[in-house]
Amino acid sequence: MITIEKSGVMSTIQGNRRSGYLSMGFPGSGPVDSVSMRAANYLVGQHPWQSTIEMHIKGPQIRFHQRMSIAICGANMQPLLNGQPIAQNTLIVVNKNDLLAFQSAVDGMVTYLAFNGPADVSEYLGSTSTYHSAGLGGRTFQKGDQLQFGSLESIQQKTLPNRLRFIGQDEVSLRVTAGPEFEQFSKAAQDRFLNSTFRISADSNRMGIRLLSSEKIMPNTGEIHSSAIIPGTIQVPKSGQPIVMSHDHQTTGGYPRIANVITHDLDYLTQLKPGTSITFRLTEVSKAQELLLKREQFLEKLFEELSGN
Amino acid sequence: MTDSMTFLPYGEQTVLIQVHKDSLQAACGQVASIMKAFEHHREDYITEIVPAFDSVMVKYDFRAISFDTLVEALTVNLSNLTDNEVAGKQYQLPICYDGVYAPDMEIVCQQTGLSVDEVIDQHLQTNFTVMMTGFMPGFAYLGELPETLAVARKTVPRVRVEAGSVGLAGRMTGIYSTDSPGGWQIIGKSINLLQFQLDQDIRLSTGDHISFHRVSATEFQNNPYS
Repeated sequence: MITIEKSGVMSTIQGNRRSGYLSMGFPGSGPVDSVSMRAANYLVGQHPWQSTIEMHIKGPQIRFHQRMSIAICGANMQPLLNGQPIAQNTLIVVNKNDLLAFQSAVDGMVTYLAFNGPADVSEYLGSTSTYHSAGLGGRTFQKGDQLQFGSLESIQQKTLPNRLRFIGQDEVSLRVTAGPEFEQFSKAAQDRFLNSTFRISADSNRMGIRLLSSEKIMPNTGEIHSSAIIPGTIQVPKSGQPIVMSHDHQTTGGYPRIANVITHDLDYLTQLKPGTSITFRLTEVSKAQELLLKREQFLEKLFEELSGN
Repeated sequence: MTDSMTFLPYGEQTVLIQVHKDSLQAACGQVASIMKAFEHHREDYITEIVPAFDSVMVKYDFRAISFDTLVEALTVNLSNLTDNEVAGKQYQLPICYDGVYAPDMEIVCQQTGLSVDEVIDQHLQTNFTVMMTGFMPGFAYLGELPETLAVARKTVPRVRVEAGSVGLAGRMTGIYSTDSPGGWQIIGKSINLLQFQLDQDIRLSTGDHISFHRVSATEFQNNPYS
């Protein structure tokens, strides 16, 4: 068992995506950076979508009541075990009464804590993931919360492949596919969107990432009839400042959708700190599929080797 | 029939079926027909379907089928749509208009120039069409209110509207499905639509119809979904 002794900024349980309830208004939820979450689960020898603690900006302080193995991946939160710095991206053994403390993220925004056994959390509509803005499927961790664990496994140390280690950048270029309303923007607005440098707004969260730009992207039509939203959809509200929808997105929206950040790049985008400069470049759907397929096959192979050992 | 719709790539794992009709009512009818077609025939590579006012989003397993092949298959499957009003299902839900559940009734009367009884009568007499579900879990946009009942949203939204509250905004009425902030004018209370749908394994969809029947506060409180 573990106890949350200090809550941190925003920590929730995230695991598998909630699927099959999108038309009822439930987004998939789950990790905003699925690569880092799966990296952590790989190190602790668990299922790739096993429930983890997803921590934003500054993680909690956690007391362990039993000996277990953990892994920390994603943003660098300078973790301390009993006051001593410990490494991320590696397997760590903690003992009874140990205190794990996270500091503010210095590189990235979101960190995952995985354990060598399943956390005892209940499922809501087939998923353990918290949809906290709707107050469904759990809530954010608060001081005094406790988590129990099922059978813990004995785990061998492994090396995490480099491509699964998050490293931030100050300037990022992201690939997008044209959105359903791309053609409803003037050529000038399309060009502005593809040639502007945007900055990540501090007003970003699990629902969406707001972008700031000195040049506004104005659509020809102010609103559309509300239509489906998916993770990565870039909506352009009347302010002319785009919003990239994240995994706790509203399932429908009425703003024109100029483009979609490709799924392969969306995980990385959700890690970027406020103020980071980003640009967009247009790519084909087939290219976006190819990139995602390669990444998923890489991860699948990794986990297959794990279960083969 | 497929000449009144276009298939747009939307991200790398979904296709958006955009319906083109002269009126929103006609578009909703077309969406209902598409949903009915999917009820009869849905391939395993389709993982989510999200109907809206004038569109249907289809998420697919891109490892199982390419975008182009999917569009070809959809064109065939949706070529014989019945474009009629009966595609949707009919539901009747209880509503209580008693004062404690109708904090904005006075504002609605002021804006419409109708008496409380007239507002209630017109609301009860309308057989609403589900124009869209979603936005928040379990929510359904119901249209269209008689023009005489059209009201403006609140200028300052309420911080918290209770699940089940029935609101008016423009030509729409809606039932809040979870406790949430909201700016619709609240004139009554119906059931918790989210729990009702989950428990009864019902998925309200564009083109379904909902009418209300009036119940007393006591009857309302005895409803398992109140």
